[in-house]
Amino acid sequence: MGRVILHCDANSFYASCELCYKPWLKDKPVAVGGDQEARHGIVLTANPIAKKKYGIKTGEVLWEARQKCPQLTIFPADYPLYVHFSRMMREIEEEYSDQVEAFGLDENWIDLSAWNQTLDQGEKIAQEIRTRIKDELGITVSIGVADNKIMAKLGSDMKKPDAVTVLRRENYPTTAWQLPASDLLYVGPATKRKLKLIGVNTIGDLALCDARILHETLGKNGLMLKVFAMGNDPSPVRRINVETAIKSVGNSVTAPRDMEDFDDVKCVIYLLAESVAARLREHGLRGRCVSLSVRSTELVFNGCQRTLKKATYLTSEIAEAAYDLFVTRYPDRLPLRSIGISVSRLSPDTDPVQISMFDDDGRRFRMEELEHSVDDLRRRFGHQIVQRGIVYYDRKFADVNPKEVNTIHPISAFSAIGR
Amino acid sequence: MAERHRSIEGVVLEPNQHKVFVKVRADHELDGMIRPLMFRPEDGAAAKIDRILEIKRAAATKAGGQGIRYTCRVGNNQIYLFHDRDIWFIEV
Repeated sequence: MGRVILHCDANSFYASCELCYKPWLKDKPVAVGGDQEARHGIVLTANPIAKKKYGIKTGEVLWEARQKCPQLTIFPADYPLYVHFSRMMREIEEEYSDQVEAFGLDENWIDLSAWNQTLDQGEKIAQEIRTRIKDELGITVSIGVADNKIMAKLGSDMKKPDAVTVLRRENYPTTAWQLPASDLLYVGPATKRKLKLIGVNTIGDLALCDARILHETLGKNGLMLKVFAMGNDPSPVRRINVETAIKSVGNSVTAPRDMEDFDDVKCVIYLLAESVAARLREHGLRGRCVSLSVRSTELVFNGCQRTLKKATYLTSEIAEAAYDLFVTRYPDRLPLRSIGISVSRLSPDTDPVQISMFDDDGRRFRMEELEHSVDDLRRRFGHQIVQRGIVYYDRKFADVNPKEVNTIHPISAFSAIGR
Repeated sequence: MAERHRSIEGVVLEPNQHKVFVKVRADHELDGMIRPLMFRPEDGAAAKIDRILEIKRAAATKAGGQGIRYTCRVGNNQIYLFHDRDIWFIEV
């Protein structure tokens, strides 16, 4: 029996949330913009009127948008509100399935296969979800129904707004395959250009294209795209409520300014190690393998790793290993733009630890206690309440809190397929 | 945070006659449910809620906004009382 997967995509999400509170602006051009003062002055979302009638595009600079449409109402982004709406949308969807996978704030895949057998029934549920979100949240969604994630996503883009599209396997040639290849998830401008060179313009072309040619042009991603185009994407809708087994914990930052000497690098490594160690402790894990990756100002990327004597979640041990790796392997890569640290070969922190005859394990134990206390202080009073002396070396770096930045990001489907 | 009185550059927000913010007196039940008992607009008389007819999450299409909507009977009138995160309002 085939799967039944819904892809639910909120239409002009940010703008819709704002309009829900200002219904009198519904038939006027409206956009949500990034903070103008902090240099991210671009259009994040525009409602259909602004887009169609005035040609305003997502990503456009705000002054440009104002020039095209002087009467455009621009709201500053209110993320807490959007997160609130996103959460409510998810709550509704979770009433129908426990397998709901988020793709950013405004898109979710919902797997109904567990108890629902046909696409027709899937369509009925999709209609119900669509009406409920409209009545309860006051925003509209487009839902695609198919037997795999890629086609469901494609379906949700076909009819907008406030609509349900079912993509059946037997109808692919007359529906999905007619669309330009760039509509397919993971076909960006570069891939589109390469595909055009070999005469692949539509998704149908991609599905029927010879696998060898695709492999030659795009490598193994080409084969993956063909599988997607044929509607054979096997990747599962992840159960988000089940903690995915963690294989490594890592973090990287692009520093506020380029790192020019060893002291700069040391400072950033300590900041990163702190966040990685804190996350290890949060998940109750220790790791044995420390990896370091560096990116120079010419954007050349290098990485190396080292195994420690003992599994650890101590900032000092992770940072020392990473800094030592840097000093021995990449001293000539300066200046650096970004650094990343990750810890792998994880084990639960409840695992017994072999006490050494030669090392001072008492000190190690006290350090662990100390770091837990720091975690507790930070949890209660904020990240900045306790800081290492080293980060005061340059206050520019001290404001970087790698643990808290970048919390909203879609999970790539590649990792699920690549295995 | 719920109703954002944010000033927006170059735009005059029309006053919204359909939305009236209210103070609410309510029972917070043991199971977490909130049962409003009476409400009062900033410059108005208190109104006692005689009966709650329906509780559901809904969008306030006329007033704008959304939240948990309590369909209340107040005397002979039926009133929509909304609870949007930390703010209460009625739709008129």
